[in-house]
Amino acid sequence: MIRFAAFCGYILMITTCAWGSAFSIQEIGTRATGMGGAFVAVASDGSALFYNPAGIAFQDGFRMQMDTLLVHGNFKFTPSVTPNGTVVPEGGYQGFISPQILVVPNMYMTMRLNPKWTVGFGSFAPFGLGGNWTNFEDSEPSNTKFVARFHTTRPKMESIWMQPTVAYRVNDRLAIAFGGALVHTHVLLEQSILNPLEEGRFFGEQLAPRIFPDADPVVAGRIIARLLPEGRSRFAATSNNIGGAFGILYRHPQWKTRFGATYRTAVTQHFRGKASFAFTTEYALKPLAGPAVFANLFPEQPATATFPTPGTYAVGAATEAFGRNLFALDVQMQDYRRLRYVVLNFSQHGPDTATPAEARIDYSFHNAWAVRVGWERPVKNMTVRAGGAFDGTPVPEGAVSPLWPDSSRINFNGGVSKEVGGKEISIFYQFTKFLPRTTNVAANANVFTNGKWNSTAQLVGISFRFRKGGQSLEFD
Amino acid sequence: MTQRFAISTLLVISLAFARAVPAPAADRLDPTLVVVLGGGLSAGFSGFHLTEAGQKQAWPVLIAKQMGTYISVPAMRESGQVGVVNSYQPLRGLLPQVAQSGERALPFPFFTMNLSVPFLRVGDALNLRPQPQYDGIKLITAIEGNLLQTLANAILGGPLLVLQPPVLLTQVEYAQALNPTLAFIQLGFEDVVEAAVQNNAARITSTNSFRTDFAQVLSRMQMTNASVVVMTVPDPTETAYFASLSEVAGLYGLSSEELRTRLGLETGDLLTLGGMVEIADALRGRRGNVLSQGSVLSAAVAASVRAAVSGYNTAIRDAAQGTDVVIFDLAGFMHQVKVGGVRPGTVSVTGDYGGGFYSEDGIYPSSIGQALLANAVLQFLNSTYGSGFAPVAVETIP
Repeated sequence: MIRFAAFCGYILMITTCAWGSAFSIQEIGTRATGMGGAFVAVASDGSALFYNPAGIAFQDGFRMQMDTLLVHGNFKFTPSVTPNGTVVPEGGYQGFISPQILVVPNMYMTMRLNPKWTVGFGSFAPFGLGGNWTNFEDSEPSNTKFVARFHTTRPKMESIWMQPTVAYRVNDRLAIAFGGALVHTHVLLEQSILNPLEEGRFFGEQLAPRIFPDADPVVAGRIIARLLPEGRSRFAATSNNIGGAFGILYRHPQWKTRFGATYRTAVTQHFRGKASFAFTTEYALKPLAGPAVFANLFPEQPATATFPTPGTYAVGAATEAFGRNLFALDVQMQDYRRLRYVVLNFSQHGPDTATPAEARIDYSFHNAWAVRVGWERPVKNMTVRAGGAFDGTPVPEGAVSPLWPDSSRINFNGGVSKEVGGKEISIFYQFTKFLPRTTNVAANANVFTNGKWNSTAQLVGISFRFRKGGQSLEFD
Repeated sequence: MTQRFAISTLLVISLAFARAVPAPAADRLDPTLVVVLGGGLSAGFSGFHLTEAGQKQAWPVLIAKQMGTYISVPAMRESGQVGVVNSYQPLRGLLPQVAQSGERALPFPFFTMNLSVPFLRVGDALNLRPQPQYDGIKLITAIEGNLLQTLANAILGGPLLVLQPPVLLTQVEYAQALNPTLAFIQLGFEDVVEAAVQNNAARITSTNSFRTDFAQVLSRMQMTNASVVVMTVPDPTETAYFASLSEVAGLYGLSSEELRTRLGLETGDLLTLGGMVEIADALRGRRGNVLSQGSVLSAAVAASVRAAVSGYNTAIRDAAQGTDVVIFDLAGFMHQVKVGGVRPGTVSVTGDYGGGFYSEDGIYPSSIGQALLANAVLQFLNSTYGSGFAPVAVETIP
């Protein structure tokens, strides 16, 4: 009980970066990731609460596991077209400026109540996003600023699932499980605003009759857009929602093979937070506009947003039929098609403000498929692992941007575990190669997100796992 | 009186965080916001004064239309009621006195993009600010006897002078503040033309001073990240205001030696517009053979003017070397007008006085001349940047 209470108060401080498809994070368990993440049918440690909750039904005693993941990303963007005079850093813009290493901790705990029932609690982040393209101060010359800043400068999302789980062991071969989760998500989105090629010119068209009365308003609007200040918007919000996870795991002892299936629900996140704005202080229109006009037009205000995280469907198989080797294969689909658009609602949208009642951002993602393979084998007094994965991106070409610098990727994994005095220490290393992607979408020309996106990521994880009571840490 | 612009009362649009239907993305030459830092030639000075008609026929306005953009012009009223000043200090009794209005014509744009000011020297581009005067609360921009300041007040000041506090920007500061995408620099002609008109070499800006100031102008415009086009300085002695002895002699069937001897001139002297009028009268017996002051540009001063022009153009080329700045050879174009004329369509335009290229003042282009110059600039932009701007239909120019 004390252990439960202690962990109920556990707060995860996570900064995450998306190195799964879009903003999915698959590297939730050290042992699992050492096997390429092919763990749906293995599910033999606490991270089963994520990979396949039914797996905890086959884990006896009290078990606790803490995983820590370190991520270093190398996200590069080289624009194909820039405004005249733009200074592009050698090698392209870096989207992982600060912090340069992210830390992702996860925690799992299970306890077998009786031969039939096992309960567990996990706190982990299956979705996250983090990037920082802000290579500039607002007061710096525009030609030195990140060229795609009018799309995104800093995105950040952390979606933490706190999932109590109940698993029922139907018999020695079959188990099912259900977990209901409190999903707490925090989002931060920053971008520059008043793009002279986009909303700035629309703004300018409204001002045109007063500033250039003898000019065509459309032409004058483009001119006036360059007389406006440059702004920065920030939306920060949180949401608390309910999610669920289901799992089934079947073991065939004669075949030394397991089959598993799992489903994690989609969650429609309802964010509540604040939108705030700031503007450069020197611009041509300032003597006419006065110092406070843009602050009045863009007031700080409550704002809401709706954003879905996808459901996850996965099936897997694992076998020990070949000597002491364990082979595993997973196939996963995430229904990212739910993310067709994001709706942002501003609370102040009267005649004296420029913020609309609703802003809708279209993304039109498609579903994402992944295939994972893994291998594990005891060697001397250790267990070694290797694996890999192909993870398809759900991000269409038109949505590739500083917010979604995504492409399909290939993971290369390796890991090792060693049991020391009833405790197991595991480590893994993953190298992720994002397939280079070159975008050329006409609709994105004015935000300068077309170009070459080329990224890699390196992940290192460590976990500590121990049990009290029950059999050994390995498979029953 | 504060007439601060009440943007907050304007219509408010939906701020499109979603991607809007895109305007054409930036090409390498982006003509969205064009500024011109020039003198009388680029301002549309014509016929001894600056008027709305001439300003709206100046080459910057013409090329803006062809580029699909707009350049705001600080149009001057044809006949202003406030601060009427004498324009151009014409030769008394020889050339008409033309009044220059000190008032802006309505409706006027709040910002000016053709920042060209007649009589503005390159040093003035860096240092000269509007200096309005007040009679109680009444703002006075036209300064009697100071044409340059009057025009600076009107062109660089204008509506900005009525703000509290008034915004007083030099030509370069103004251009920088506008955040341009394309900038033309046509400076230097005013640094020599006055010396030529007044036959006074002391009025020539020294080459060293020009070099230093021009480099600073160029450097500050480059900081805006605009595409910068600089123009070489034409030789004022090749304008229609001046004629050689042989050219004038030929009009009357005389040899240049005969004319020189009769009028007591030196070899290489040039006759001004007023001088040509006096010679006509002298040959008809209406006056003696002694020409008035201002009728002759001496050979020595003419040589100094040409040397200065050569020095300025070397300075311009040196300043542009190694940068992305491109050079339009305005001097070469004007020289071609002088020696060979231009043939737009079936019409022949020459650089002689009355030949069509120059206005009544003989120094600044007529509306036809401005159109021809605009086409030369457009052709230059097309060949330099690969743009496809159509030429001005010269035959439609009044």
